[in-house]
Amino acid sequence: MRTDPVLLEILRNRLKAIAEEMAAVTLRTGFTVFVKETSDFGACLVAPNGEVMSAPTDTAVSLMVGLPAWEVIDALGPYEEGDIGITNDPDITHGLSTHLPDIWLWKPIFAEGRIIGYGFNFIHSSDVGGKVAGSISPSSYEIFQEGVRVPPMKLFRKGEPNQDLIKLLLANSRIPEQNWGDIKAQIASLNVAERRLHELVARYGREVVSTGIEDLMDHAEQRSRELIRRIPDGDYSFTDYLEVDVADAGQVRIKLNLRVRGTDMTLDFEGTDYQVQAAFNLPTWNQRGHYMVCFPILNFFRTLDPEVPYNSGLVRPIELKIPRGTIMNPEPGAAYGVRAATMFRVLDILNGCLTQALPEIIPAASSGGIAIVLVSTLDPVTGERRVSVAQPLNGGSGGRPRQDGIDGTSFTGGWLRNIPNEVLEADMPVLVEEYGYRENSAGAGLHRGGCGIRFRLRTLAPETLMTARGLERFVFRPYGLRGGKPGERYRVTLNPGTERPRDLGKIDVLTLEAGEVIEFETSSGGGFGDPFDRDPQRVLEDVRSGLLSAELAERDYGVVIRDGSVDAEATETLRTRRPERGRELVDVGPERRAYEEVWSDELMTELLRLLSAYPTSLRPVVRNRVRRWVDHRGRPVSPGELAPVVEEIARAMGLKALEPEAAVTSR
Amino acid sequence: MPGSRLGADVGGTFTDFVLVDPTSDRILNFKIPSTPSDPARAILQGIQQLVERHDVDVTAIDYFVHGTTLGVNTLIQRMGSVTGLLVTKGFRDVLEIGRLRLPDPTNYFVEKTPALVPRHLVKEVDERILANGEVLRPLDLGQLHGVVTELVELGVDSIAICFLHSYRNPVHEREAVAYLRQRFPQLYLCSSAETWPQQREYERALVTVINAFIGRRMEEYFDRLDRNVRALGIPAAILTTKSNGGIMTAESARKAPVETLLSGPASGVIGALYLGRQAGYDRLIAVDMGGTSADVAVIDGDVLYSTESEVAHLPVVMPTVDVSSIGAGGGSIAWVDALGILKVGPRSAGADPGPACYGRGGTEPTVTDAYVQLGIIDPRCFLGGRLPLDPRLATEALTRLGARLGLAADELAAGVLDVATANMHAQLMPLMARKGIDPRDFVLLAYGGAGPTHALLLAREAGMRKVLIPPSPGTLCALGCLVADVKRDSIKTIYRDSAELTPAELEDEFAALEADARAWLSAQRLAVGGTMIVRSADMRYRGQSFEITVPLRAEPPGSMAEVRSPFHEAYQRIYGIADEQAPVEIINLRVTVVGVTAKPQRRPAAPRATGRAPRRDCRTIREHGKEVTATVYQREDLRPGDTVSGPTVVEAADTTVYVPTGYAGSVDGWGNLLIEGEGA
Repeated sequence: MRTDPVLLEILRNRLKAIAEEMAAVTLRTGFTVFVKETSDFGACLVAPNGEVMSAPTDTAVSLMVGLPAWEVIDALGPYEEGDIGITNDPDITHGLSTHLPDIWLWKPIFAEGRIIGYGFNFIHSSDVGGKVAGSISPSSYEIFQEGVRVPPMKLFRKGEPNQDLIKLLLANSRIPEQNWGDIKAQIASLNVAERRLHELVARYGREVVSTGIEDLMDHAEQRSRELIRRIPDGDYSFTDYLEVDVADAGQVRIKLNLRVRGTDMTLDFEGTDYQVQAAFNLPTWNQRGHYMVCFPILNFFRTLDPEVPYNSGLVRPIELKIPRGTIMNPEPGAAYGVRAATMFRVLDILNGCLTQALPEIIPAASSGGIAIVLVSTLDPVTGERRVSVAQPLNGGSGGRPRQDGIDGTSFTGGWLRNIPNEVLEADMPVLVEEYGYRENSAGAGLHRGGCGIRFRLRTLAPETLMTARGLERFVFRPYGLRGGKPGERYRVTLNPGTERPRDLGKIDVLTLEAGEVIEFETSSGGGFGDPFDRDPQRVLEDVRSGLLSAELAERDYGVVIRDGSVDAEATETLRTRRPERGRELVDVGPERRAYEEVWSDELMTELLRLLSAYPTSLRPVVRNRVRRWVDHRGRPVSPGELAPVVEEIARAMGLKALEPEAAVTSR
Repeated sequence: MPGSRLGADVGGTFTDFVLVDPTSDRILNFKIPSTPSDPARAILQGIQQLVERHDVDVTAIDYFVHGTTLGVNTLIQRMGSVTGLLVTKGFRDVLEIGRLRLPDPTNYFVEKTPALVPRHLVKEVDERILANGEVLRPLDLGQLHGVVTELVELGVDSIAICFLHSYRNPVHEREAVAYLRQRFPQLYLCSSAETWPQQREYERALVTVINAFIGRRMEEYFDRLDRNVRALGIPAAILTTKSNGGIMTAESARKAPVETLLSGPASGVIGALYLGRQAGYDRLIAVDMGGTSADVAVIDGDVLYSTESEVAHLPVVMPTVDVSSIGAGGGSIAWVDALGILKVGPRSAGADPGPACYGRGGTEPTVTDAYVQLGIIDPRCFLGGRLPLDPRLATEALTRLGARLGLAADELAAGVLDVATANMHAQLMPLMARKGIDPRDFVLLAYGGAGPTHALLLAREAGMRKVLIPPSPGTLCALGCLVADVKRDSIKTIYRDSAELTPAELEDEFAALEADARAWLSAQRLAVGGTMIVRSADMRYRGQSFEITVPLRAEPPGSMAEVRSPFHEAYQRIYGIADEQAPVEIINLRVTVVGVTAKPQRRPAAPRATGRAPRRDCRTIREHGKEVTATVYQREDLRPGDTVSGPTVVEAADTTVYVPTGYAGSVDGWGNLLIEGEGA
């Protein structure tokens, strides 16, 4: 290391301050509801080589480290002072942006005629055009439905705005003024970055700062390697599913093999299902250390070492192998709107791998369904449609090695703030009947999972539209760990408690009449450890607080409660009588076990192999038909039986098989 | 002849006193150790010291303001009453869920702050009021009686009530309070509309619950203090400071103890404002650096207020003087991380064991040890010589740690100060950005034990050119008590489209708020020099989810356009654009009533007629790795007009002022030391 340990800490502080200040400026001046209510914006400083050198941790989403900024830096060079680039396109930027509503800006920062770094930031815009207001619909199946595409272009050249581009951009949005307001907030934030970096260079000199930046990233890399070294060498595999209930996709499998060798780590997603004809695809482009794949590892680093320097040096030891054409590395042109749901599922899967190596740190599965519920009504005076966030809904976190899970929110989407119900009712013609914990939902465990949320509201106006993107875990439960029970599933019910309640499942766009009631019950965290080992007093506390019924205390925990206290004798008897102790590593629940009776790992792997003989765009179609065939069979199908079936279905569609790929390759 | 005035501020470690005695034209400043188990005791000891050591006639004290940390400590330690909460049916988890966001969403070991009222003591009441104030379901008194009976059986002796939309229509809360007062007279009761009628159920419920939680202990404390102060013969009524920088009578504080939570830091800023204005500066960044942390507040013409403060990790939405922590204090510990990088804080050696040089068993080097090592602090003169330091212990601690980095004690000490300064700077700059403030336009006013020692280092880093050091930086909070005005904030959420509102309706709303405010002021029964009413409103463009608070003239508006125009201007200032055509909503109306108190009347002292300040000493200090010879002065020797030139150290009873090379200071008529840099 060329920079001395004192100066290195000073530079780390200064660069972090700049990134925090960039985020603060955006927060103060940004326009869209996503900035203020859901912190869906970000900012960072990028080194000349395209790696993130500093990112905020106090404000904004903490998804910056691992940004493949080099993709757009190279696309737009050479730069002059005063240039600002803009883009939102996941395909052309190879995974810098991951869906169209994220508008990215960047600015080269010069010192003594040379680029010393770049400011980067993004805001999730409330609308960039496309087929629905807000631009995101789960049922979109190609990027062209999701809004205007902006390839990397210069928004400013030498400080002069590109008016033609701005006009084109704003003409393609339902809310041009707000978009322009957001872009101005982003420019203000980039200008702050430039000024502060200039001040830093004036204070310490360009060479010292440049060297310091490189050293800081090397330092983070070393730190990251130290942390990886604490993970025992091994191969850790885990599988989970994304629920794609549009386009017939069903359960989409994501499979990960986490390989740890010394201070290196490989995330191999071979065996992951193909991309879907819906907006769930996550365009990672298999970029090294991609921010949407690696953020659970960063969480893990920060849990062990909150002081870790927050830059892309951290992800250098992490190699990704994501086969092309899968939901995690789709071919260009796919739809990406709801890719956050996929990202959240990756966290469950990575944690499922890590817990095998690190039983003392990793929690059981969190709710996994993080939905932003939007409500929209016609203004009785103007007739205009008004849209408002009703609530961001999260569920409980998983139980932890030494603590219970967190009720009502989790590590996925833990940055979300809710909307005061008084504000919601004053803004929109709705009546909130209940907003509280979902009782008896927590996954049982030595350390129980966190409860889900129950949110029930009545509409007071006709033609009320409701959308909720990010709903998940309706079919398979959030898993429990080490004897802990899985959490409860998500449920959305129309008109509960009436003669005709309707179980809605996931909703895309729902139209409600005045007086109708919709109830969201969010999924809860899985438990950690055997619930029969839980301290009876803690079980009693949950019963006393009303989160757990006495019946469930008896059934799930073996704790007998009489007249408000623990019946020690009866509890003892019940607990010792229990035939077997729950010790299994993962409990995924009966639904997934039943599903995997049919769709075993071998069968699914064989199907993916056979499908690789067809063009990427047609694989989902063939896949869905084969799956329907298998599901209607009524008895398990062996992998050997599959080939003729696939062939016949493909032939019926008029497809010609190519040679199946021996191994699916990464991009 | 006017009587004398006493200010006392009870802090965590010290209780500070300022006495202004007009007969002898003297100002006394001193501190004594606090007595946390019974905070009133330190106040009484201080008063006794006035009599015994300073020969003060306490029967002439006709004005006595004190600041107490009892409320905030009761909250932090969770030692308040067993409190129950009544909420609207369907909202039992209002406290548990809060605003949902996790304090650190990336840390798997994170815990949410536990709710102040556990779930089994929260009861739902069958009633419902709509957003427009209409009653949807009437209050069921029978059911209310039932749930309160259950709570009483569970040992509850304090109850908070927060029903949905009570800010708009408090009828159910009032009915419930009236009913419960009659049937359960033993309970301490507060309702949310009475406490702070602002829309947002969680925040309103929380301030109500805090009030109920700490109310009982505050009542007992004020009773005891009052008895004892009377017994000593002080005739003045007891006044207490508020988080909003104002004061109120003890009688009011018994009902609204939640308003005292952040009074300590607020008083310091009020003191800073007073001194700054006196010295001719009203754009100040006030930095209070003590043993464990450095706190910062902005004064831009007036004190800035915040409605997003946090106390004991809980949000408090009532207006408070805006004070934020920016990290390191004198006791912050230096350490080396696993990969050999030098870190300072956040751990602090506090007062016990304290820095290594205190000789109380601390072995890890702190910021204070670095000052000693570099010669900035004279170990014989720390806190006026009352706490002799052992420089060898500082050197040992620094040498031990330095060995791990290959640095000598001197080099490490310089590194510790640089890193501590970089930490503070890294916190300060984003904070100022959030307020839209450029520190270079401001004067840094430094106080607290370590503030004047570190001020120039921070100022240089932040590009601030002027630093003001008050004459008694250690007791600024107590001075703030003395110069604060009587003050009360009130709020009403109206949530109306400004186009649907007439100026007359708006005036009626404001007039009602003002009538309440004036009634409160006259109930204080204090002689005030004048009354000020300040109006403001929280407004936004329709469809946006955030508001801006804009000041309005305190007179009937001529038109609604006149009301909207300051909003458009403020919007333009912050966002660079404004839309005069867009519909504007008025969310909250705010009224602040200020009863202006008499301030201590002092004249600036005349400059020294001849000669210059006697230098007491010279000593070697290290700056940037070089030894330089610093002149040493005693603060008490400095007279108006005296100048000092860096490198210089000014020793005082409560702090050490460090003026590095390249800076020069001069003393003004009020005894402030104004330090300016040449190149900064």
